[in-house]
Amino acid sequence: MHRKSLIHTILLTSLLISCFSVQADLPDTIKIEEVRIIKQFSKKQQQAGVKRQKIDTLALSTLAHRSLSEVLSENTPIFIKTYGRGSMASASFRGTAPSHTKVLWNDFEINNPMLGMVDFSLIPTWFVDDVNLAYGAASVQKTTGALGGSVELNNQPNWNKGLNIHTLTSFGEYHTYDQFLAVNYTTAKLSLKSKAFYSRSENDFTFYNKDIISSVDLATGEKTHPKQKQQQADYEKYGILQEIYYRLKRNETLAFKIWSQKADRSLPMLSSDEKNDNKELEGESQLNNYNKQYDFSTRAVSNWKHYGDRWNYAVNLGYIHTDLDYIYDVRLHDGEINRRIDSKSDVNSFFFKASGEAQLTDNTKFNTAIQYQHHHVDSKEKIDKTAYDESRTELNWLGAIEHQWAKGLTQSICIQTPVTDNKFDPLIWVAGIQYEVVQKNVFNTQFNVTRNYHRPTLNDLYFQPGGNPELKAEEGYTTELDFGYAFLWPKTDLKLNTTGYISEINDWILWLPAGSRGYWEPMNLKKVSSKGIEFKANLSGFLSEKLNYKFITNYAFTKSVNYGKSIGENDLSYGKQLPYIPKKSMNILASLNYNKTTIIGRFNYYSQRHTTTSNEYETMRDYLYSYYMTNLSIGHELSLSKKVLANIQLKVDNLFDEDYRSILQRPMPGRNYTILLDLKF
Amino acid sequence: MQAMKYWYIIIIGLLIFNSCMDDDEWSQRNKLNIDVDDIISKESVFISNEGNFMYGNASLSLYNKATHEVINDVFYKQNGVPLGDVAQSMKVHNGLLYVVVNNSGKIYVLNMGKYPHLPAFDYVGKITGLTSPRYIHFINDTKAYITDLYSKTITIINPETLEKTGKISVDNHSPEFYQHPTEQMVQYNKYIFTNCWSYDNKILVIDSEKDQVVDSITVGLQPTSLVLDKNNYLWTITDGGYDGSPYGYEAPSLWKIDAATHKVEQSFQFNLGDRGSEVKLNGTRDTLYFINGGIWKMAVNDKQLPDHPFISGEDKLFYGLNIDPVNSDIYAIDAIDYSQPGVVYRLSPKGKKIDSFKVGIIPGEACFY
Repeated sequence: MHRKSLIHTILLTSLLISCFSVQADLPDTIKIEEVRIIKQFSKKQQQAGVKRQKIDTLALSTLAHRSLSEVLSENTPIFIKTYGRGSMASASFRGTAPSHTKVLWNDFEINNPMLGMVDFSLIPTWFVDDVNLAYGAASVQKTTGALGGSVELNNQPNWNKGLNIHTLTSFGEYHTYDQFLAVNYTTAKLSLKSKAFYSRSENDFTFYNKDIISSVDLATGEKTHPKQKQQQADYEKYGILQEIYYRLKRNETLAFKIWSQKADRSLPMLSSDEKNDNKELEGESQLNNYNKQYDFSTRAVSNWKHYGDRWNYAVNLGYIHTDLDYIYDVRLHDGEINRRIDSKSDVNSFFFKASGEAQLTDNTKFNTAIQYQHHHVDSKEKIDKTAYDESRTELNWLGAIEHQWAKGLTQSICIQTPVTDNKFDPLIWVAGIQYEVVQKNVFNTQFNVTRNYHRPTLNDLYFQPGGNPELKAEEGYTTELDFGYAFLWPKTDLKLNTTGYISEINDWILWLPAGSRGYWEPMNLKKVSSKGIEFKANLSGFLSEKLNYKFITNYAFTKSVNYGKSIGENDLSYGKQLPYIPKKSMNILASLNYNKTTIIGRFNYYSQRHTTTSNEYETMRDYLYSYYMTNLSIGHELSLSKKVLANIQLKVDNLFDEDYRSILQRPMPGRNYTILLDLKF
Repeated sequence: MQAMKYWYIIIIGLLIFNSCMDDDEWSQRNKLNIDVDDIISKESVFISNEGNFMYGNASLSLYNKATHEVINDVFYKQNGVPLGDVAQSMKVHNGLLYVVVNNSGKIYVLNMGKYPHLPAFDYVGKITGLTSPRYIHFINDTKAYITDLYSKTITIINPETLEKTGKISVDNHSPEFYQHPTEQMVQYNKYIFTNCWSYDNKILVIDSEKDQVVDSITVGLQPTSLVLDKNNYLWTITDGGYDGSPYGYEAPSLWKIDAATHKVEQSFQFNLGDRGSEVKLNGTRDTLYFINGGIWKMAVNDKQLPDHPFISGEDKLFYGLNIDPVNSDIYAIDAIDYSQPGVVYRLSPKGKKIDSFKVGIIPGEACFY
């Protein structure tokens, strides 16, 4: 039993570096490694029949200087809709809405309760130690309402004794500079980890703007387009993360983590915009209009864990504070700048969770938790004087049981009873079954059925104008079938995984104009059916002692279709793919490591996306071209002294200089270079 | 070296996936090159489609009244660039079509006969650097006004040069609300009247010789539109704000104002919760049409509101309304879910359906030529 899960753990975690090098690199911490494995074993035990994916450490390390949005788009089937380099990036997991992807940071949900979504461009990869995807059903183990699935971000202690310093400096085109720092100090009982980052960019890339006309020859009608520098796309982001881990006893730990960060961003206008007269390359014009967004957040969690012979207990406390401010300034007739929009929101969330897990018998495991969340949103717009100040309390009991019926055959059931503002919500549940054969190779199949439920966001309910307190929750059923096969040859590992799912979501919330003109209002209008296939392959191994490679690919086919009631006789959206959801997406991460030199290629593809609900081709703006993005990096490792290890990397983003867009009229940069220096002391 | 060999294989693999887009080729192939004479002889209707805010998917459609033929996206097809973000309104003046693209801060100027050697809808110029332009009104060949939602300014331009020649401040320096946001314009003698919709209740009166605001008329909350009837009465319809609005919420109302004296002649109340908008006139300017759920019709001399709508709005929500000045045909707009191409219903003056056709996303204004 133990040996089997050990193999399983190795399978799950060994994708980049081979088993041999892991062992070779391990310092004298075999005991600690054991703790990690036991933990993963117990995690695995709770989740028979559901699909999880751990993002490869190579993907995280190669994108350590970027945001999580790039990690997800390049390494998972999640579709990231990005408004531009450094701008907002929202996720669609299995064809669902951004609020249907829940993000957990050390077990607490960090989705903004006001908007429901997470802006992945604001999560620095540097600040996370591991990222797990919980597909559909798997999310129910820790959260509710993740109709697509959840992204779990975790920070882990580092029990390697002593002081370690790690810095990463990056210089990129468009006046981009990033600095990252990590300091670890560890004693037998205490592990302190401090991290910080600072990123800034003018983001003033040049592009040929085919969305406006710069001049016309009135004799011939010939027109020209300008070459422009992107304006108002600059950003500055900085933050700190402090982690403290303390071993109270051999089997008891205490942890405290605090993450605080600030981001100031200008929001670029559309490429067809000419509010600011002329944006020709030469000569900066006076800005008549500009937008800015300020994000500030502080997140803190503390956690106490006790590992017993039969029972493990944990108590978690968490607090999140988020400020999201947006301003829009316009120049008036007298040249004076006047604020037209001045919107501020102040969001506070408090969490408490107590959980316990027990090995009831050799074959039965039980897990229970009680979770309390309180969210408070104070949202104001100063100029139009609209505001709301509302809160929501969520209480949840979770119970999960898992039983192994025979060798390799395990069944699990998980139930949650959510209560929102003292009212019982429908039950949320998952039933899953898993069958696994572990011999020379590993075969695994799992099946589950889930019922989940997503509450409207506080903006959906209370936003002024339009908020609709009568909104119902979105609810859905999902069925999932998954096959995995791992071939373990002496020098090569090949892991293949295929999943099919069908999801039905009722009462999907949509914002529509309330009258003929004026404000918009959310309604429970659509019924969405999302079906898809996900395929993943990992190939890694050795060609010689000094030459190893890794190849990871994800492919997803997503059919996310509206089957809601038609809005009048002319509505053609029935049976059509939701806007901005690609049917096909794919990514590849390929790395080749020879001695101390590593070459990494990252490739990302999205098929054509529609911008209308009816999926028509009436105009050139009704769809976006399919998108192919290739990035390449070359790194070389140097030992500067006995104690200093350096790694110099050159990165080329958009290798083939594609003229591409992720969203209509949001230009993206062409081929660009970044130099990185990574130092470990 | 072996490493490089594997790497080449990967690179080649990636190159196969690689593709290029070619918008230019597409535009050349699909160029419209319609003759302006064709447009005039066929009695055409232009329809501006607002598109979604911040999507940049506004477009222009062309409808042929005789053949019922529709060509969508004519601006892009002729010029190879998108129209922009939120096409608000249109006007034809001296052989040029002016399209106000609100959230792109510009007005496109397109050929409609002024340049005989160029095709219709061909780009000939633009007015840029506007904040949130809404409507353009031509006072004479060298002077036009542009209203604006955000800039508290009416911009004066010279249509011959497309240069900005001046500005009229409409800032009332209210410490409470952002005023005035100017909208539609009508002219009576030398006076230009403009309704102030968002968080406002005024119709401003501007002397077009002095380029100054000389008076203002108070109406109900949020007047949406403005017309001048054959008896020189101004008509506006308010939407009454919304429930919970800091500016206030009341029943929408229809207002009749004497353009000469600026006095309110009569106001007609709807019910709280109704949504009034789009007051329009027929070609002879003796019959009013407006939206309040369905489409309503009344004579400009009527002393009370009709009991029933002229066309029921049960199955669809009408977003826009336009009346053909020649034959009083009604062009009613169904924007459906606001995220797919909308439909225009062409109805006879008696409300009988003549045709319906699909145009672009959120059709707004129709311009009869």
